[in-house]
Amino acid sequence: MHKRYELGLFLFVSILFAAMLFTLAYWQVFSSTLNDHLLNPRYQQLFCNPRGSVLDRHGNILAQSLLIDGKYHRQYTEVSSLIHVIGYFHDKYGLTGIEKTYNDVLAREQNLTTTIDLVIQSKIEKIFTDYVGAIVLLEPATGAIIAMVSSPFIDYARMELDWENYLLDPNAPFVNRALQGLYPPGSVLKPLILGAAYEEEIINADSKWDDQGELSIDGRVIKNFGGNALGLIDPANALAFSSNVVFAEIALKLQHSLLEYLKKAGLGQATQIGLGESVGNLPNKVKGFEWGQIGIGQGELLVTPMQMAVISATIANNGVRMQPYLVYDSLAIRKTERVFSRTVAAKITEAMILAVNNGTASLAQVSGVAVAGKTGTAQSPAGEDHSWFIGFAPANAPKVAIAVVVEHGGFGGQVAAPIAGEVLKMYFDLTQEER
Amino acid sequence: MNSRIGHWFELASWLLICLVTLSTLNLVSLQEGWRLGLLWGTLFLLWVVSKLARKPTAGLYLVAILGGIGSVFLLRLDPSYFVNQLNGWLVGSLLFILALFIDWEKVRYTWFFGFLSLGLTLWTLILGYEVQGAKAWISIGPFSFQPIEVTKVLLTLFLVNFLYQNRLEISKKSGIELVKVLAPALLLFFIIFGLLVLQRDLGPGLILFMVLCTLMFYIVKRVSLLILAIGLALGGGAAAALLFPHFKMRILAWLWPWDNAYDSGFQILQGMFALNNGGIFGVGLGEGLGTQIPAIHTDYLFALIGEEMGFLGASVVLMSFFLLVCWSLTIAKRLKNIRGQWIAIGISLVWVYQVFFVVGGIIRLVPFSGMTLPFVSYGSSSLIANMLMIGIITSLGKVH
Repeated sequence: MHKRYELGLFLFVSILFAAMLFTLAYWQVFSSTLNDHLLNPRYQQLFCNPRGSVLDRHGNILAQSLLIDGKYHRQYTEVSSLIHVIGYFHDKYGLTGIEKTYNDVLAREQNLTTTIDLVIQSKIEKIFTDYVGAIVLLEPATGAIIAMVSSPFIDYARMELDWENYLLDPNAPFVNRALQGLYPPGSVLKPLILGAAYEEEIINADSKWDDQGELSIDGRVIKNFGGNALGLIDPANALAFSSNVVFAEIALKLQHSLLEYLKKAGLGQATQIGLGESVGNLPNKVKGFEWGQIGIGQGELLVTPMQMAVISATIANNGVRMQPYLVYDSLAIRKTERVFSRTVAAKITEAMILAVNNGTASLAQVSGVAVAGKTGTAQSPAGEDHSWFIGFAPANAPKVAIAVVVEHGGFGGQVAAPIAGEVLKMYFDLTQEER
Repeated sequence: MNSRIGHWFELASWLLICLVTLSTLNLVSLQEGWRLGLLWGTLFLLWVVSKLARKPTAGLYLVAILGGIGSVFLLRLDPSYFVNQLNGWLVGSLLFILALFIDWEKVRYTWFFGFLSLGLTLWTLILGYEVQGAKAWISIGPFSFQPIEVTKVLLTLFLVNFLYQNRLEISKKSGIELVKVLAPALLLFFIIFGLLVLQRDLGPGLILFMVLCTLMFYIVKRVSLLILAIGLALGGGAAAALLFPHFKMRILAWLWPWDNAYDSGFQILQGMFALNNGGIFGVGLGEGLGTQIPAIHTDYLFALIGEEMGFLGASVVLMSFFLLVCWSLTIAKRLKNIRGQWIAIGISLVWVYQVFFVVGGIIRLVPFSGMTLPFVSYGSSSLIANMLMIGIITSLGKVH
């Protein structure tokens, strides 16, 4: 009896010490760092230290620390739309963007080279400055992000002065719409659905539909834009003229395999570029009429502009999805996934070229460059429709993929398509000059 | 092994521990550094005396490691802390030697210990003065003293002796009869506990209560007592939280430090920031920013050790305490005399709970109660009491 009590006492003491040791190990070794908390004096010290620069793909400085009066100050470019990418490093407002994600690297005074092109970012910023929405430019073959503009944004120079106003701004300039804005995709989802239909062989190039302008499912009706009847129509023209009837029918036939393609294309998941982002929403219990809604990119489906840019880049890259990235890092392991076969990707591209040359996306044409694209006009419960465009160019050997969304902009072909056209023209004018 | 060779090995170990702390002296000037030599001289003297008295010396090594780490950190914070601390070491060493030559197995002054505890506590309540909300200090001439540190030892001795004297009745009786046997000790204990509550010095009260519960369970061997004790502790804790805003604040700071980051939770958060910054290997001696934490040299020194010496250094401190407790429990186990066994167990428990509530408070395992880490933190009263405790355990031990 006595021995048992002795052992019990020793065990009890051991448990107390083990509990201390494990809790200590948790806080010291396993817990995430607390050094970025505003009340932590180690965090305040961060702002007195030198810090690595952030560079664009050509070596232009996007952020650097300058020694003024014995203290280091962080200086940024005049291209303030980069605040959604680089973020800021401020002793009062904290760390955001790349400044936060790569704080460990920058605090070691190492420079960071990003995939951003400062000149292109700056020109897109000027084109887009009066709109509310986002534009993303990607390299289809690599996934490198050339530019990412979310408007409105905070002006680096006015940040401290107007902080309170920015906080109250109803257009939420703190939100990076390219990564955190959630929109129904509307018709820009159609290229993906077309690809899924070809892959699952429920259509072929000879398929034909008789489009009467509306389709009734379970007593509810899906109409074409403006109720137009497109008549006898093939798959490519159904995409080019954005037939809701045809794509609702396709979605009804595909049903659950369609959801698989949405997932494969990256919807409902983070793109993992290292900045705060939304994953969007993939509906999981879909039936009847709701399939028709997914077919036209409506219903519960929500996507970010970055996710749509990735889909566009996937089609451009012969059906292979490259994980998008912002920082050159030779050690990074990035995901690549084949979504469509090469032949299916070519068929989608063909239809997207038709959409720009003859169809709804004609205002995205660029002289001298073949553009493939698709417009979208997504219904918004909060007002005017969102205006979408996704595409890539040159269509036969894509260098750049693009996604444009203009919040409450109205008809995609009238608002987003011409903006995309202007951006692509600017891009090719610039790259032509370089050569 | 030949015991003479063993002595040489021990001597070499002393030199090593001494050299390790001396190697950190580039942090302070040699002017202050020589005092560290004085500490080593004193501890070495204690070792020699223990050897001559044929007593075990393992405890002294652990005291040397803990005291060495503590001294380096006090010197690093402010050399004047160490000057005062050295007085504590010297007085404590005298008490150690005194304790060494007392045969604790035969000491029977049960009620003397009990009423001395009561007297010291009353004295503090009537003539004491407040520091940081707790009326825990008294002054004798130029010296300030926290009687509770010695009271902890005396009350433990009282409890153990009382239980020993009544051990036959305790083993026979149960229920209300058992309570009648225990009543005098419990009455005295709870009077002292109540006085501590009035002084708003809840930490030591908590330790004494936990020691009482554990001893009761260990010696009286009744599960019902344990359940009663847990119920009392929870009920008392809840009542204290309602009655004393000071206590309530500590609980809130423990559970939701982020919500009270600027006031009551400030110290806890800063301590966690310091520990977290330390990582596995620490940021290096003198490099930590934990120096800004309130009460860093007394209650929160462990956080600075964790920041500058990392998880490894902080583990050395924890493991040294664990070994110290294991050592004194082993001495208890080897004793044939039951009174001696219980004294050693009681004193071990005081260390266990003291370390658990100090370190546990810093790492948010339990609410922080504001006490010193034995042998490590700044504070002469605590140091003197802990040297007395080491002296008692060493005296109880026998070299075979």
